[in-house]
Amino acid sequence: MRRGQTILGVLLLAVLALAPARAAGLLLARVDLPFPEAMVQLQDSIVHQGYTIARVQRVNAGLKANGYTTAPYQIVFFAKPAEMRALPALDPQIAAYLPLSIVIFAERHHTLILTTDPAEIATLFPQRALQPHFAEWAQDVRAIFRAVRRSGR
Amino acid sequence: MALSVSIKPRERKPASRRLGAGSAFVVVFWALGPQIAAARPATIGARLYNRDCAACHGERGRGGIGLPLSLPSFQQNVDNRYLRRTIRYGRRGRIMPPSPRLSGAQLRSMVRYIRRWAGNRPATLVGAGKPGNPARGAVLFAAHCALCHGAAGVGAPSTGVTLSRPRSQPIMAPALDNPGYLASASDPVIRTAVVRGVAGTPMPSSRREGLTAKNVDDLVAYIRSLQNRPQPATPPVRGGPDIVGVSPDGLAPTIARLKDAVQAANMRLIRVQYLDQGFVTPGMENKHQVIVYSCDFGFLNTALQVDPRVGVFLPCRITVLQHRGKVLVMSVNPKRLSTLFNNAALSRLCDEMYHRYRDVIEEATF
Repeated sequence: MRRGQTILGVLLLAVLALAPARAAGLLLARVDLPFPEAMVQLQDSIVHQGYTIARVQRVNAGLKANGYTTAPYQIVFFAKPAEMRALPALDPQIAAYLPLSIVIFAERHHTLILTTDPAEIATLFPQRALQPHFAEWAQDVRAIFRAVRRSGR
Repeated sequence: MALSVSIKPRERKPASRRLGAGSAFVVVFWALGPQIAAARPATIGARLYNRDCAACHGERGRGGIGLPLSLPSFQQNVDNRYLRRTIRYGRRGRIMPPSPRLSGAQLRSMVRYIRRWAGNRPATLVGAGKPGNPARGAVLFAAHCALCHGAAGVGAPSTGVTLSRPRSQPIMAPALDNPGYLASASDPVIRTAVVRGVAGTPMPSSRREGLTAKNVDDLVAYIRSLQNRPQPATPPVRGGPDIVGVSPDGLAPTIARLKDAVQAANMRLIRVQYLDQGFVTPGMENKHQVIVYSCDFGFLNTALQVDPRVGVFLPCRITVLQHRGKVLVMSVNPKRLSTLFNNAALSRLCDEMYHRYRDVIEEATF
């Protein structure tokens, strides 16, 4: 069963790697919504995809408090609790990449969302047992991006 | 278990009805064919543009991380060959990625779509000029162009237009020494930009700069000569996903030393929390896995100016965890991740960040 999942994961990553070129390794999407609405849609989509949001880092607030000006710029941290518990035991180095995160920032009346492509990060972690997780994340963040983009149309 | 599937045989329509439907299709296609044929490439172009370009350049080409492609003065100054080649080759080390997989037809349809924003008007380039003197052009470049385009045409240290934060210029000057630019811009395209300038941006016309036609020829010759300059080789990507140190001590003293090391490195300590905090019931967290968050806001501000996508690294976090009797201290490896960005300026900052992380981790695990 586990082997089957691993093979499935490797195959899925191979398919994703053959997908049309984007900025290699990064997923970036423009949303035709102002920042507050896009943030609501992003959080809804993350939860809808089965993840728990742990917190939102308000980078712009930190910058402002230190005298720098910027439009809203925040980071949403999310994960599946079971994976947060299990994966560092499989490979402790993955802990530096957990929880997953999506950056969201304003550009005038639009909002941009951005993350590293889990399919790309997977190439840094050769352990087979991790591959199905990366494959699932790669699918899920794409689904989240699609949902948020659609909400803006 | 056997599955039984019953398939209902298709009813054959009388020949006259089949002919009627076919004829109707032919008539409709004959009537609408040219419109369909004309609309299709633009539709493909729109789809490709929205897939590959809109996130940076904006859905209607108004710019953002990327330059505003809909700017009429820009569209007037560049021909379709320039646009096609720019999409094909990208700009090495300047965010804009190459698109080697797109076919010629796909590139043409994208260009057709981009041209719609300027009313499908073709570019009107100025004449080819005469062969210039690159040495004289270099002197003129230093006096008239280097302030924005950088010494020897390396470009502004950032890209795009001002949308999300204050910058020194409303639009960033392109790198004229970039192989992608030089492979895309013919001499007439370069000459047109110099002669006309780009209205709506800080790029002035040659007349406003008091340059003669001969000066312009020399400048074009100098910019063209930049393609003969050896380009720095892309360094091979080294290192694993993380920077890792092994502490000789237990978890608590390691975290205490890490906090001191972070502050000694002029980074502000933001918070210390368990790795799974927020994902499990409070009090049930794994106490052997801790994240130390910190930030150097001045450095962050600079990094965001260079590339607003840098947030995927943020905030600076160092994870400490107990694993098989060892206390590991680790962070992501910014040098390794910098390869995802195609941004040479950001890569330099990532190198700096790598050394800071490494020093902090060494200090905490010494």
